[in-house]
Amino acid sequence: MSPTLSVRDLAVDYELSRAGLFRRRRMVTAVSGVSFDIAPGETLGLVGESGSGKTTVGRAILRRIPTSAGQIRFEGQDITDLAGEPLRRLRAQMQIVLQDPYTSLNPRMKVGDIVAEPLVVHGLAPSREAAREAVAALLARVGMPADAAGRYPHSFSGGQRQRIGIARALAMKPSLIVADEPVSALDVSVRAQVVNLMQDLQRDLGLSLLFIAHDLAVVRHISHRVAIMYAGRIVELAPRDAIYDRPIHPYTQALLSAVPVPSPTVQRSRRRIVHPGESVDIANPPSGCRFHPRCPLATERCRDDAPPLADRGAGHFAACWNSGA
Amino acid sequence: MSALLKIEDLAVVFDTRAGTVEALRGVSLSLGRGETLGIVGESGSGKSVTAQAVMGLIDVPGRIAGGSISWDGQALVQDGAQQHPSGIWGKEVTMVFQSPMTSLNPLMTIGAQLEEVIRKHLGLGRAAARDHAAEMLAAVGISGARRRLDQYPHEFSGGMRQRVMIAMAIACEPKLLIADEPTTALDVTIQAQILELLAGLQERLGLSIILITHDLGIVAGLCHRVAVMYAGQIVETGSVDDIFDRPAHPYTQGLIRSTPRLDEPEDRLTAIEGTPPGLLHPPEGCAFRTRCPIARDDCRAPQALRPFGAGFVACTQPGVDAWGDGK
Amino acid sequence: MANASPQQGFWGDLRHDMPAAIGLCVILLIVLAAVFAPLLAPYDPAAQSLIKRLAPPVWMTRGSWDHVLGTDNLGRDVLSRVIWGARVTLLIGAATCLIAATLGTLVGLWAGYRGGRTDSVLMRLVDIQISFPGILLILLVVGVIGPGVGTLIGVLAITNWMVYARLVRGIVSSTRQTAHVEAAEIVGCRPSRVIFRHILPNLVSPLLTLLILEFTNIVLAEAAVSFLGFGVQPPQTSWGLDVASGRDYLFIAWWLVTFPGLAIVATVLSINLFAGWLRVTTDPEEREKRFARSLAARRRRAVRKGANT
Repeated sequence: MSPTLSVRDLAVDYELSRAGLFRRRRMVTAVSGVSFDIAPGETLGLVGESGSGKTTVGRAILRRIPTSAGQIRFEGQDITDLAGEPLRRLRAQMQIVLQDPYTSLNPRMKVGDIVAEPLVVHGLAPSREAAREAVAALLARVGMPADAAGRYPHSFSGGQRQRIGIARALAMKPSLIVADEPVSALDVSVRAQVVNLMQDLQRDLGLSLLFIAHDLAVVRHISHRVAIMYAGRIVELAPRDAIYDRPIHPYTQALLSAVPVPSPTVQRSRRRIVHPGESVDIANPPSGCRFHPRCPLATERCRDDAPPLADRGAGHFAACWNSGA
Repeated sequence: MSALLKIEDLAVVFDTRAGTVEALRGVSLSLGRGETLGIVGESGSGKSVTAQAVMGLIDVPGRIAGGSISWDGQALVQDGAQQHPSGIWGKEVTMVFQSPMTSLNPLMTIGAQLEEVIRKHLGLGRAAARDHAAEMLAAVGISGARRRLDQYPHEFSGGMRQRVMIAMAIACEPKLLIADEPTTALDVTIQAQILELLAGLQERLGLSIILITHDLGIVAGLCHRVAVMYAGQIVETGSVDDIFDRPAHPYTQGLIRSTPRLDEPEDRLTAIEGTPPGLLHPPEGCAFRTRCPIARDDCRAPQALRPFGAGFVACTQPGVDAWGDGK
Repeated sequence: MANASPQQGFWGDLRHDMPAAIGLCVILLIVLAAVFAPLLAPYDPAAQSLIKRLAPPVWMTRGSWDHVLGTDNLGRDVLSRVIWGARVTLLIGAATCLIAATLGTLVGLWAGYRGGRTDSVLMRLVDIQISFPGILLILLVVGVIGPGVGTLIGVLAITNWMVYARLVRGIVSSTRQTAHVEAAEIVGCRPSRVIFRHILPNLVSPLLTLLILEFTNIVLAEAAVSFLGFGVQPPQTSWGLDVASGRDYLFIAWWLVTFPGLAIVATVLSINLFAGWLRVTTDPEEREKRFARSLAARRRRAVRKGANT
């Protein structure tokens, strides 16, 4: 089966200082050498800390920001340089669920109009009646009451708004959804509802899902495969259980050991792997492997050469010269 | 343990155009010396308002509508009236906020801001204050403390800024440190460092800590005792082991069950259906009953915290497994 | 939420703010006077009568009910001139504001939405125009084309559109980053729909406030230009023109300058009072704060009263 999405050697530069009338732009490489596939009906979890470039990857796939190298193929078609009307039509097939349910819905539009907007702008709502029916079906699908269509977003809670955002993303029956931290702004008791909903939809509709998050526990729950990013590169990519039970990269190991577990007995018995220092300054990344200044296994080679994301068997990829090789 | 902080039947309301929002509805708590108390709840549960009330920070549109807070025998709030004792806030009781980016003055060096606090509360001279400031930065694990005193906040990363905030909070040797979501804005690896720092300080200085968070994992690692808040009330308190191993209130049980775990992946999360009630017109009786799987008719009557096991629970059926499969 | 209808809430709020309510009343009075000038004014504002020249207002000796606010050096009725003057002044103010706001909004929208180089070029243009003294430009243009109401409106619009451009550009470029605009673009909305459906509604409230405040600037500018003799020309009348022509008689007939001057002051002051209130009222957060503050004040008063008795 050919993948829904295929990303090869993606690189994204962004402006550090904006171009003025007389000023040259200063560019910084936010993401480089990122490659992965997402199969139909698969959920790929993309995890990283702030500044790791995970959000940038999501935006680049949706063609929201220009890429500086690499190739993005969606359902076999090269979309790397798509622009204008073809890009607008492609938008129907790839949708996004955004992080903040409070700002991602236009406060001045009724919920029904928000959910119907994709249909309207793509000319798929021939009549008001047809649009209303489609909206009712979508709202029911995400577990919202039917009368929600006539109300404004402010009368709904965060979790309900996120459901509305999901309904909007589903309107065009997309084959890929990029979910950018979709539950991190939600309260714990509501978070589980939305995670369950996304899981159900993904299974029932056969969606491909790129689930971007910093919460490793949620990602473990929802993903089939997981990619870990550090400083603009993927350092490890593997099936879910493999990466959580047998992490190879020293950064993945440190990250997993830092996640608090809601159980005092487990928490007391755990040992955290401590690496000195904080996340890298993306404007001045270290040479070679970007984790080497914090890495306990670092050698001369790590300083000079960036390790490739190499197959360690059974679909487990890691970018490290030393660990587990 | 003698109680250092005692909150009794505290009520706080917010006046809005739509009506009066009852943010705290009769909260009672006590905290002993050297104890770490976690207050867990969702947004709007009243956990931050409780902290603000202790710090004397309730301001328009909020106001204290009833109850008392006493600190080491001195009244901070007396029968619903705000008192203004000197030498407690900022000295004996200090607070660390969620966003280390906005709580520091960007135009003053770290050293100047630290020294200001130290000189105000400890009455030290300029040179002594600077020595003390450097000591404090070293105590929170910032290397090259002397040099970093002359730097501005923007030269510090998020985690380092939170360390500075903690240094500022412990500079005057407080007895109580209130940390309101201290790691929510930080990455996991940095969060772990900050939590370790807090645990270490607590042990070394004999501090009492109130840790306010929505993250159960943080509570499990750091706290001795936990209070779970829902809709402006405390629904359960107990030792950290009891709360996590034998949660008695259906809400606490649901909260723990709906949190995905790294170490025990489940196929499907238990979700608490519905949303927390609005506090403009809070429901009669137990506020959780509309979402509770085992709610009965007698849940419509107000529920007070009653002893259950080693803790306290506000429920008609404490200890019953509300979510079903006996786990 | 117990939502009272927003309209009712507006009036309810206004009742509690005396200065703003008075401001609104004065504005309405002036607008009514301007609209119904032919019915309200006792005389033709241009009718001269040399016998009755420089008659004082009614409450002074020699004053009479024939001319309530007295007459000027040509025997024209001051009250009638103030009422008719409102017409020209308001017309110039409104027309100028509309033209300047439209121009500024278009430039601001374009600069804010396109960003990058377009933005830089347009905003530098704004900077240049702002640094060029407005009054000099006005005198230059009027000197070349010749004075008149139409010229005045055009020239004032050209010297005042920049504030709108800056405001709009700022809001647009920050609104562009908000999540719901991004969502609209990813959904596949065309730029025109994004601008008019998702960005423009955010501009309504700040633009309205700015428009009202700018209106007072235009009233003052019109008065100044007319005072200098480059604006409205006789036999038409405006408050600024009347102040100008009355200044020679300041010591023997103070009413010639005072009443049109007072009209200007009243207009500007009441608009500012009302605009201040409107700004707070259209900002939900500020509105809540004001409500809570007034409630707290009332509670304190009640406590004090209780303590006194």
